Parts: sequence; C-alpha cells; structure tokens
Amino acid sequence: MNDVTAPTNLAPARDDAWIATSCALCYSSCSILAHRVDGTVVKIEGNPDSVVGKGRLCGKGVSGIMSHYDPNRLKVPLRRTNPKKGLDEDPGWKEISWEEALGEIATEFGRVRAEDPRKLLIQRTTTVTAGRNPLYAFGNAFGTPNYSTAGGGLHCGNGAHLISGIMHASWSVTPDFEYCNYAVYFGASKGHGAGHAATANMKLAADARARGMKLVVVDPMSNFASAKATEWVPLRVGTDGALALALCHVLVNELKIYDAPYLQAKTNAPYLIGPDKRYVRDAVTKKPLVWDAAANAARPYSEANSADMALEGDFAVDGVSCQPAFHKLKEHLRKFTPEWAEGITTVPAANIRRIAGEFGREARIGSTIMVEGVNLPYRPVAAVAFRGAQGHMNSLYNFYAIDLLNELVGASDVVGGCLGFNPACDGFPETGRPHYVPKPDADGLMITGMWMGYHYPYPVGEPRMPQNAGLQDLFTMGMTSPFLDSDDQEALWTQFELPYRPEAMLNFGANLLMSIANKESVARSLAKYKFMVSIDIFETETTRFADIVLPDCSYLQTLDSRSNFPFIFSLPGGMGEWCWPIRQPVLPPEGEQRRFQDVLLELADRIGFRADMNAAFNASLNLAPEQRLQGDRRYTWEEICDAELKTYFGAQRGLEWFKEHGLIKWPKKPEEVYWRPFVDVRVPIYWEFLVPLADKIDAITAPRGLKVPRQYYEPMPDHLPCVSHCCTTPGFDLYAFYYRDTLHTNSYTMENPWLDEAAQLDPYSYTIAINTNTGRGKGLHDGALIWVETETGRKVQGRVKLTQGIHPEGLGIGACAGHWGDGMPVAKGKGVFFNELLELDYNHVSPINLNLDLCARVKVTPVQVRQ
Amino acid sequence: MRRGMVIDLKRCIGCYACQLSCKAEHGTPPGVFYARVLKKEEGQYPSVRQLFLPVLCNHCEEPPCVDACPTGASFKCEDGIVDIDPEKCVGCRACMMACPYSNRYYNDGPQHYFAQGATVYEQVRGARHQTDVVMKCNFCRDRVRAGRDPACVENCPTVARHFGDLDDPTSEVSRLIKERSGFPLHPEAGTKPSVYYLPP
Amino acid sequence: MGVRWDAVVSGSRFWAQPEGADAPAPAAGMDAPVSVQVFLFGTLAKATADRPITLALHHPFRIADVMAELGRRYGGEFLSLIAAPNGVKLNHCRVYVNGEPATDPARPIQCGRSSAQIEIILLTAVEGG
Repeated sequence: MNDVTAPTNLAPARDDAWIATSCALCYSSCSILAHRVDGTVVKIEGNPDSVVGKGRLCGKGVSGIMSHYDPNRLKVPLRRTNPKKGLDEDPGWKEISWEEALGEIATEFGRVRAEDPRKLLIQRTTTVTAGRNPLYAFGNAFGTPNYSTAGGGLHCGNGAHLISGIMHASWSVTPDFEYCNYAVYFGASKGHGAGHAATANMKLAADARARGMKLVVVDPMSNFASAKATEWVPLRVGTDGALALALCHVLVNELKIYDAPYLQAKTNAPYLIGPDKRYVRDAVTKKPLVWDAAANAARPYSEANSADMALEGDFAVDGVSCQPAFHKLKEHLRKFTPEWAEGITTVPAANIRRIAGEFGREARIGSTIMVEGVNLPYRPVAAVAFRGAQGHMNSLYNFYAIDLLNELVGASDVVGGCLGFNPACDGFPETGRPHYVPKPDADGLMITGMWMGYHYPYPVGEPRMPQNAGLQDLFTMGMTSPFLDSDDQEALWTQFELPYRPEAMLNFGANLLMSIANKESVARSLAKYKFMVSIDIFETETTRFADIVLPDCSYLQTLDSRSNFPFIFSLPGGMGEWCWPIRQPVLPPEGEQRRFQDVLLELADRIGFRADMNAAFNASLNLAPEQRLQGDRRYTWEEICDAELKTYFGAQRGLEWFKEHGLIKWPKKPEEVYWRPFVDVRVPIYWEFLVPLADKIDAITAPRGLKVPRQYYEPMPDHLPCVSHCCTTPGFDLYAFYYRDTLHTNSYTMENPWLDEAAQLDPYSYTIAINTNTGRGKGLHDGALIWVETETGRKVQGRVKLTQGIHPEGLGIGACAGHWGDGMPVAKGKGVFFNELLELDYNHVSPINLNLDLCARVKVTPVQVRQ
Repeated sequence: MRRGMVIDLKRCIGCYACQLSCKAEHGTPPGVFYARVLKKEEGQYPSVRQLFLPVLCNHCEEPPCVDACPTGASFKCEDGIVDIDPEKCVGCRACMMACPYSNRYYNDGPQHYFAQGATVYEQVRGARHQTDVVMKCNFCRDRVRAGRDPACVENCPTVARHFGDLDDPTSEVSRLIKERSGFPLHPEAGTKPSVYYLPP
Repeated sequence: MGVRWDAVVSGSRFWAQPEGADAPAPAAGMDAPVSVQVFLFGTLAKATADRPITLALHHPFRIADVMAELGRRYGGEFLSLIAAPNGVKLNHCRVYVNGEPATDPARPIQCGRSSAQIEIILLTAVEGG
C-alpha cells in the first residue's frame, strides 16, 4: 500500500474506474471523479456526493485533464549550468539524476541550516491548497520563519483575510446565500466564478438570484458579479472605503438605523474611550469599562448587563472624560457625507443615500427566524468585499469600513447576513474532531478558533526588531510581505538590522516573477539567492532562476489527506453539510516525476532532521496522541495521511477507507453556522489596539529613520488615497487595475489550451478594457494595439476592448497573463502582464498591513505613434 | 417525444463551464465547439448590462440543415435530436450555409492542441472524430439514451440548463417555458428550435 | 420584531465548556519532585545539542514553569522565540505533554508521578492566499 507509484484500483486486466479525488486548478479544490480507462484519464466530472462543488465543475475544473497531459510538463530533474541569473539569461539546463539533485540540495540546505536556518525562504503557490502542510512542516522542522505565497496574500489576503479573521473568525466572508435578501459587493466575485468555494458558491448565488436576492455590485468594471447584479455601482478605482464610510454615516447619523442590542452585546461599541483614544480600564481588573446605565456607574464590560450599557453620552470616570466607542464612531462618521463621497468616488450622493436606506431597512433589525428548530437573529443583508476593494494602500480601512456595514445592523454571522466560512465546528459526531470555536481574549474581543497559519490575526503580535525577512514581526498587522522581493529590501534590512540575509529558496509552484509586481524588481531579488530549488510542473519564468529544478506530480498523480481543511478556506459557508474529501493518485508519475511530499521527507532524512519533521507534522496536523509520529522513525507520506484521517475520523477510517469512499460528510447544526449568538465574544467596531501598536512600532522604527504614518493606525477607518490618486501629471488620466478572470487561475491556466482557446474568444480575457466614450475620445477602437504606461515609465502592450461597462477613468486587465517564457508555450504572449505596471517598495505598500497597492495611474498611446 | 433544452439566462453567469464540459465530453478538436458562450453588452454607461448567451445546435423541429444535406448525412431522429452520420458526410458544408445559427463546424484543422502532437488523452478521445466532415452538438445522444442528461446540463455550476421532452406538457422544460415565457432564438427563421431561453 | 439580539438564544449551552475542563490538578502529589524530559524541535533545537533535555520540577508544574526554566538556561533570545515580551506563550509555539496539546501555560499539568515528556515546536507564523 505504500508504493508511491501505485494508483488506486489499478486493475491488471480491463481498467475502467471512476476515482473520487480533488481538483487543483484553483485553490477551491472541488471534489471530482476521474474516469480512468486502460491507464488513461478520459474524463473529469464533479463528484455529486461531495458538498464541495456538488457534482458540478467550473470550466477550469473540467479542463484539468489538458493541464495534466501537457507535453510541456517537466519530467526530469534539471541543473543550471549558467551561473548568471537574469531575465535574459538562459539557465543552460542539464538533465541530472534524482540522486545528484537530492545530494546537492541536501548539501546546500544542510549548510544553510547549520549556519542559520532563517536563511531559507519557502515559497509556494496558493493554487494547491493542500501543498501547505508538507511545506510548512518542512520549514518548521528546518527552523525558518520565512514563508511566502508570492502574490497570494500580498494582493488579497493582507486586508481581506486579516479582517475576516478579526471580525468573522474566518479566512473570507460570503453572504448567507440561502437567506440573504440584499447583498452589496465591493470588488468581490463570490458566486460568480472566482474566490474561495468558487463552484459551490456559483450555485448558491444563482439560487439566491432566482429567489429574488437583490445584489448591488460596487466595482469599476461590470463583468462578472456586476453582470448579474440588480444594480451596478461604478466608482473610481480604489475608493470603495470612502463609499462604505458614507453608507455607514447615512445609516447611523441620517437614518439612525443600527442594531443597538447587537452593538451592546457583541461588539466593543459600549467600551469607554478616553481622550488618549484608549479604553478606560478598571483599576483592579484592567478590564475595559462600560457605562452601566442601570447602576449609573462605570463597570467592567463583563459585569454589566449588555442591555444597560450606554452607547452614547459623555461620562467621567475617576476624572477622565470619556465616551462609548460607538459615540466616537458616530461622531467620526459625520464628516463622510454622501456629498463628500461623491467627490471621491463619483457615485452620486442620492444613490449613496438610497442604497444605505435599502440596506438598513432590509436588515430587519430586531427580527428572528427559525432554522431547523432553532430560533435565531435574522438580518438578511450582507456587505462583502474581497480582492478589488482591499488591493490598495488603504487596504485595511477599506475592508474595515465595508464590514462596519454588517456590524452596524447586526448582520454578522447570523441568518441571512455576512458569514465567515465555517468559523465554528463541533466535530465529526463519532470523534468530536475537529472541534474549534472563537473565544474571547482578556478584553472580551474575539480570537479566531481556526486559522490557516498559527499567528492569529488577533490579538495583534508584539512588534520587535525583525527576525523575519519580510519584517512581519515588526509590522505585525502584515501577513505576506512585499519586502521579500522589493527594490528597497536591502535598505530596510540594513535599517532594521536583520541579523542575516536570505540565501536559499525552496519554491513550490509559484511563479512570483509574474504574480507580485514588475518583473525587473522581482528578478533582482531572485538573482540574489545563492541557491534556489524549484519544484514545479512547468518551467515557469521563475523556475528559470533556479539552480535545481525538480519535476513534480500533477494533482491526478498525488495524495493529500485534507483537500478542504481548514474548513474556513474552501468549504462552502451556510447550512448544509460538513465535508472532508481527499486527493488520491489516479495515474502514476511520468518520466522521473516525484511527489514533492516524498521529496521533502527524503530531504529531511538526508539533512538529518527527520525527528523534527515528525514533530512538525504532529503539531501542524494536530495528530491525536495515538496517531502521533514517533521519534525519528521514517514514515511514508501515505502513513502520515493515514494518521491524520484516523485522528479525525477514527481508527476504522484511515487512508484505505478514504481511498474507497473519497470523502466523509455529516450535517451542520444551526449553532455551528450561526455560532455568534451562542458564543460570548465581541468584535471591534473601534480598533483601540491600533493606537498602542503604532507607538510600539514607532518606538523601533523612528530611531532608525522611519516614522510610522499614524493616519494608517487610527482606531477608526478613514479614506486614505492611493499613490495613483495623487498623480497630477497631465496625460496620466486613467486608473489601471486588474481583475480575476473566470477562465483563469493566477498565471497557471493560460497554458491549458482549452482555457486559452476560450479566453481568446472572450472579448475581455486577454484585452485591455477601456470605457467606450473615453476610448473614442482618444481615437481608440476595438483591437487597437496600445501602450499602457505609468509615470515611472513602466509599460505594457495590449489590444483595446471598448466597453460601456467600465468607469470612464478605469482601465481593466485580466490578471496575471502575458507569459514570456518558452516553458509554457501555449501561455506565451497571451493576454496582458498587468503586474509590470506595479512598483514594489515601501512607498507602494500599506504601511500597516503591507498589502501592495494594485492600481496605477497610466496614460495610453497607440503603438504605431509611440514616441 | 421531442427532446429539448431550456437555458435560464437569469442563472447563467457566463462561466464557460458548458463550453468546456462539452469539449471534455466529446474531445472535439481545436476550433470546434458544440457549445459556446457569447457575450454582449446592452445600454450606455452607467446603465449597462453584460449579457451572456450560451448557444448550441437548436435541434430544430424543421431543420434546414437536414433539407440542405445532399447525402442524408444530417438527419433527424424520432426523439427530435438532429445528428450527423460522419460516414455519409462528404464535407460539402451545405448544411453550414443553411443553419441560421452558425452552430456547425467543419473539422479540417489540426486534430490536437499541443505543437508536439496528440497527447495520450487526445489519441483516446479524438480517435472517434473523422476529419473533413461537419460536426455539431447531438444533445449527447449516447448519454441521453443511457438515461443521463447532456454533459453541459449535468455540469452547469449554476443549474441554468434543463433537458426534457417538449411534447410532454408536464415536463420541467415545458413548465419552465410556459411559466417564465421561454423563447427560442431567431424564431423568424421558422425552424422551430428545441432550445429555449428564459429571460435574464 | 424588536427582539433583543442577545436574548434570542439565552439558555443554550451548545458551545459551553464541558464541566471541569479547566479544573486544577488534584492535590495529591503536591510538591513532589518530577523529572521532565523536554524535546526541542526545529529552530528551538539550535539552543542545545541535547535532545531531550531533562528538567527537575515540582509536581504539579505548569508549562509556564517549563518556559521560564528554558529561558533561564538558554537566554532571552530563546525565550523571545516562544513567548511575547509580556511572557505570554506565542500562539505558533506548540507544546505537547505526553502527546496531548497543552493550550493553557498556566494550567497545572496532570501527569501523575512518572516523568513527563514535553515536546515544543514553532509552527508557521504567517500565511497568505
């Protein structure tokens, strides 16, 4: 059973099997059935038994077969012979044996580990979600804190995931499609072909649409969600936060619509705030105080009835004048009038007032509904943001302001409202595992019960002199860091005295040269590595910087015990069923391909840290005591997967059981999905903790020449412009932005010839969308070849598609296309490489959560008249 | 019996899963699409809407392609499905001229997608397709006779497609057409299509 | 309409902690000396060539005691890897006692009279996607 090359059910005679496994064309990891006939996979369909996709697949999922059988896949280990690394350098690949490759890697990595294990950076793609654990176990055991997910995180997660974690205890948020009646999307495509739980959400959103859910889509471009919206609200690129703040102002100050009981019981709205912007705390218990209207006195929040907690008023506690946080917020919001927002966003003030009113009334504050016999709060409205709204300098406040809409009306993790993906799980009934639920910290604020990493978004870490090359331990609201690749990395490392420099990189499938920012900056950072190993299925542009390339198995050739766990990532939210599918091999490796999990286990042995690797798996998979890996014993990847499955589902349901059944599922309970009323935690509508955080960071950075820009660390959200908003140079009159196309995942799928063919036929996938009137004013027509150029001279070329469905100042490009390398010949030259327009340095990064600013002010010129 | 399809444009999000699941079902060569998605926009900024229109052979009750075919290769089955017998097709393309919907394809291009030649998969899947003949959607005749829905119907992530008997007034497709004012494309062509659309 | 949000589910014990989960250790065996083997993994293993290291503690001890003792032996830099400046164990520092996760460093360890095996490892602090 432990023969790594043995695919399931491979019968010697007539081979005709449908094998339950998992897709990996995007991070949603939908459940699939692969039909294998005589050793060839002839069809991939959705697995109707599974909750993840429910038997239906997106266009990418059904096309995965063409990615697997791509003749351009890597099949042998390669070593570079050209010591020079650069965009124009040919690596001079030489085929080598696995023995040579592993020997050389073990030597180099062994040297690095002995010197300082922090010199190793582990880099991975976000596409293969289950790739996390083996890589991170390797890194934990090796002893490095340095990880990156290339453009993942930097482009989306630092705002969306951080704040979804702080406010909803989950990786992302979605409307409760089954019950929601009015959803507002800000640069999100949940249910329209992209994002987490993509395919499952497509059906849920269609059901909601058929049921009559109104959908208002705030987006500079009308393509996916906006095409199906009740109303498309075009706005100036990067100003979503300003619109959300005005909506909050109208709700609270003009309409006076807010859910006071929710704010009292489930947020820090009643906490008293002093003149220093901090909580006023009890002298003895140090707990934040509230004003207890029944006692007419200040009391620790935990000792007053929430119904008695004042939300407004001027109070004095031991001579300190203070107001409840909600009072502060309400006053703070006053300046964000619809008229002010119209100037920033271009959305007419009358529309802002109307939408706020619709949202507030549809929230039905005070109502309840029965779900499966349980009476629950009912707030059928949701404000949902993702990549679009938060991919800017003002990433944090944009997402925070948008989520405030949910918090103000109590539509947070209740029926019909804005749901985190599965933040509470009572466990598989027979084992009680996995079991997690949010819990309060000493201030009563919510700590998530489950996370994708182990450094939770809240409580915020204590800033220190950086030990991480990405400086996330200094800028502790940051998740993925731009400084692993930025132009100013060496200056920052020197400035903040990083005690080492990254020297070696282990890359799993990421094409960071394309997925972060302009390729010249990233290329400079890649060329600095003394030793780089790339495990991949294609020779990507990034892999051409590697010293050794290892050919990986595809998703049809590999094994993962947890396709959709943690459930906060890609398992659909809302009622229904819990579901735990696996990924299993359908086909053997081809040529010299090896599964990366086996490679990592082998390297741990060769370098000599197998016991550490076992301990890392024990901890990261949270293995049950009786399933824990022992000492420095050698385990196969099958045995490790088996131990995890038995941990969660009992000794009788190990890997063999899952290979036969593909998945296990059990019903969700209302108390799990709508956990918030049942759990005594509060979420911050006033981010008091940012005030001391700024002090602590500044105490480290200011003496070293970097003043923390306090406007990003204020406890209440504001509109802070992007660099692009401040450009005044004549001629640079458009805001370039990118969006995620429904046909493509990151930079990976342009190589799939079916998807590429469909994208070529699509009017937008590979073109540059410009408003028809704007374009005609510039003499442009459909198909015209143009340069798109930034103030700093970065430019990309592409063909124009004029459309009425884009803001007159917008310029929209489908993300992560425009390959230039020969290793993915189908993808080469297809689409436009948007990221080339992005600068990569501290000045283009949110100084609080390190999210990259993903818009650029540009001018366009026809290629034939270029100067 | 008259097999027909109803496509709900309110549910459709233009994700191309129909086009690609069809390709996966039939292993069609490059440039040949039994199912496609067309996109267009209506209105002026900011009152504009993107429209997605999935198209396929309409399996017309009065198919002009069958009338136009000089060899009898294009034919209509008893259950209303219009199909092509590649053995009889001589590739004259008269049917393509006759089809008012442009949903027929002539297979004379490359038979594989990658420059290196046909993959193992393409060899297995593509072997059934003859070259220099006209190809088109046959409502997944083999699947339907085996009791399954066409691939595009079964896979549609938004459940926008329905398949059934248009002659049976109690069928789901008949009911949807009646209740939601289903309409065919280009009824003026007079071919009586068996593919209906529900308004967005 | 008008139902107080927090009153809707009053009385539900669904997510309540099971009784006694955080009860202190039984008094028996108080102050008895106990030998504790500590296995340090990953970057923590660089602190010492020995694995395991043996600590002599008093029963019942707490993980906080183990952390403090390790800090005394291996210095402030080591301590900063496992605890915040305020002494609180970092969340990505995972501690296991005889194979069971120890989540509350202040809680007395119930390991009986025999020696305890403690494993400590740092997990991934950051994540994107």
